[in-house]
Amino acid sequence: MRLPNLKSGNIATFLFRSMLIFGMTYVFLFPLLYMLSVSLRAPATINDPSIVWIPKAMSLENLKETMGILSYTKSALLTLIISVLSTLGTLISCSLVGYGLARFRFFEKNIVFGLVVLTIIVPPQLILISSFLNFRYFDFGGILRLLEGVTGFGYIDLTEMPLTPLTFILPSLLAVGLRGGLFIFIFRQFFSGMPKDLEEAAHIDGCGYLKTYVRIILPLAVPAFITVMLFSFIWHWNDYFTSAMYFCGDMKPISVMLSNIDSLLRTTGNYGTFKSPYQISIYLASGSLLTILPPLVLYMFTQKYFTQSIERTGIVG
Amino acid sequence: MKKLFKPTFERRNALAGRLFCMPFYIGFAFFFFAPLVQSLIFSFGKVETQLGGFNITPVGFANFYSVFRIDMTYTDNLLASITGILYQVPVIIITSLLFSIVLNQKFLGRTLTRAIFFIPVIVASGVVINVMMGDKIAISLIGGAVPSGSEQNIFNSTSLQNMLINSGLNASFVNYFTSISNNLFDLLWRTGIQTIMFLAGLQTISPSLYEASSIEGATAWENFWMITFPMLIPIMIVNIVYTIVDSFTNPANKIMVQIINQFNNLKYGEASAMAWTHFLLIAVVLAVVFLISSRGDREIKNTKKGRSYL
Repeated sequence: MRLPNLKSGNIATFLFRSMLIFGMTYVFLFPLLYMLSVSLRAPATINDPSIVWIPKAMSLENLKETMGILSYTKSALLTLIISVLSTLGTLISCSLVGYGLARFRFFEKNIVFGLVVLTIIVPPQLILISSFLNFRYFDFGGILRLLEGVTGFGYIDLTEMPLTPLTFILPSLLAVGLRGGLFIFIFRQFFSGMPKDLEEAAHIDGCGYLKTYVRIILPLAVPAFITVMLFSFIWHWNDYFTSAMYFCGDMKPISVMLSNIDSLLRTTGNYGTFKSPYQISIYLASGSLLTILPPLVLYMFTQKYFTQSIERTGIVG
Repeated sequence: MKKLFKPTFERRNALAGRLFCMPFYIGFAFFFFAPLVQSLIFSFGKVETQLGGFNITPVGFANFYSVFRIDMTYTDNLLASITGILYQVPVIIITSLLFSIVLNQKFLGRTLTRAIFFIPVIVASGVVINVMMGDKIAISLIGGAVPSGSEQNIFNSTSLQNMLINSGLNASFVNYFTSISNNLFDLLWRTGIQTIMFLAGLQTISPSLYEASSIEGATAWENFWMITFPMLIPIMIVNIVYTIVDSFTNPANKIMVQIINQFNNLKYGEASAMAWTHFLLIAVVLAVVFLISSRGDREIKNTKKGRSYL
């Protein structure tokens, strides 16, 4: 007897897919579940060895306290401003450069692409110190020094607080922001995989280069834009290495605050009392949870565009 | 006479291309080239910090000499990171391709699954993973035994290791086995970016191609090799480059740790020399990758009139 709708191939696919997803879900959810389990425990029960995963008494006390230690609202807002503005700059500049490299022919094109790859492969440590000095005495490549007689100052200190976000936003507007080279590369590969027919048709109809780009290429490249937007936002949000160097004052991005949680616990007046290692571990888990929450929410909202884009783009390929 | 100055199509095209690339020209000159040159000067000098800046005395190749001939571990670490990518890159690329194809299928709970597969992108790229890795107490809070070794964290398979040793297997065999599985865990955590990139690439393939081929009677297997795979080649090149660069510049990479330590000890000269040799090595590896991919590209062109990807 045979079941009508079930082919053996379909069952095999279903089983394989389920096993893969099930296994990977465990691997990927494990730390998240750990953070949830630990941070939702009532502080009184932290030393209870009978609790394994599910807390006996739920409480938001840990999260609240951690928010206080990290000055969460302030640092998250700062990180949000940096991430959103830099991501916007990255999207605009890197897509333009990627398009220029994918579609046009000019003498130094391959050299420029080589330089783009160079910016990807240079380890950030290599230029960190010099970049810091560059921002500390920022003079727009000497322009401010020339105007010193008129304006009265020869350079701007971009590492001082209200201006520090500019150390991320300015380079990202010029396509050399955090992993800018990689984003140019991604855009270039996406654009070069697209058919030229539509653009040629637009040119024949008298559409200019920029207009063709805005009207024809942008709608076709929605998946590329979503991808780059997500990566750029998350990498800016998570950036620790560069931020730790540039943000020297009290206001720091959330990832820097999180990595300093040990010293914050020691110095903050209210929390200056002795903390057991277990308590610190709980603060770390709560802080980690609070740090990854905003990007996770962003992804929940944007991921549907991954599936919608193909219907919207119409003919590709 | 007038005709001479009239821009030809090629010239206009070239000008437009340069204008599109203009942000990068400016940004590269201001924010990248200048610091890069400075670090090159650092690597050939003895850098001393003093009040209000640096003092650099040129020492020729002394920094490079000390990095290669005096430092015992640097050369070994360089070799280790090269052999590391030889097995990491294929594993990561194939796994992420598999994941993205699965995530691109239609099934119940796809939205949730995609969200879960995105977690590594958020967690592994930030300080969170370092915090979790460095947290020795964490494992005990969820009922695990407090590990005695210093290298344990919640990502390691301690319980599996203990179980296997307790069941009477040879300890060295168990250690070898679990070191692979520990690595696998780490590798799976590094597939996030590549999976999303492949997924976005899959989204740009037109469904009409598949429709046409299934009308012609192609099987799913043929569809994959004839449509999906060729269309994903541009993204695959990005992914390979990203994976190589990521494994080289990963903060967990031993050379990166060495470089950061040198920086923290204010040995800017040695640190720059290390960073520069390391960087040149990455450049050579990537040059080989580009050479291979462009040759493969030419073969496609010769046989099938394919598009140029690189």
